[in-house]
Amino acid sequence: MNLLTKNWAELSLFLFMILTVVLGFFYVTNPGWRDLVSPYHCLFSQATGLLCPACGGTRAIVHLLSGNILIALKNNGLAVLMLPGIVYGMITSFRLAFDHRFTAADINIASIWLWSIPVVVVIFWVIRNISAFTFLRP
Amino acid sequence: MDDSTTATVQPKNHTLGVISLISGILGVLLVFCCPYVPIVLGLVALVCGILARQQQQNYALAGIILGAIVIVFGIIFAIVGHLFFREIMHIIEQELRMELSMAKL
Repeated sequence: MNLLTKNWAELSLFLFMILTVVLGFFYVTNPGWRDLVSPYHCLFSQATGLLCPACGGTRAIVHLLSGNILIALKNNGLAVLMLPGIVYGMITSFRLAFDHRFTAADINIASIWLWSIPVVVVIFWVIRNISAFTFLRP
Repeated sequence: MDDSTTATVQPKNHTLGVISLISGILGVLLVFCCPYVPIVLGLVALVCGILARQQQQNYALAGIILGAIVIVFGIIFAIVGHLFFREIMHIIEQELRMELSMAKL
């Protein structure tokens, strides 16, 4: 490990990822804190009566941490399916920050996989608001 | 044949730039939904965009700009939500109740 070869952006990405996961864990596991720091529930949902792609995400993670995978998938399947991506991001940012042989140029994922993420999010957003797909609603 | 002309040219890797741009797009999509997720996505877009720009990758500037916009709007929405949202929703609820009671009369 040689931190001197790393620039501030590579180190800050890892610190930021760690901070996000730790704060996210506290946010999800402490209902009292969640009520205190959350100023509102979904603005989109309250304004339109429709669900956004993140609706039910916190409940999904809570159930996943409790081991209820099926209930987690029912609340927000997309949030559960995104978790491996977050884990990959954590590992990559760790390598970027501490492995001197690994640089930003070494991160290589096929563009089609990356572009499929917003496409899947938008499709999930649309179909969970269609009456035929009520099983995707929390 | 000259060796320099036969040497294979590796295609340039733009992964971080694309990650930055996609994080920014997702942040824009979610900025009206949740208070904190867009700020996280905006920061990812910003930092990945800066790293991608150092590597002279495509989409880096777009990711940086989107990330900055998402962070600013995410913070504004979170602050406004903390300060006013509960009061605004309370007023709207009171007005709706009054309209309902008037309709019943």
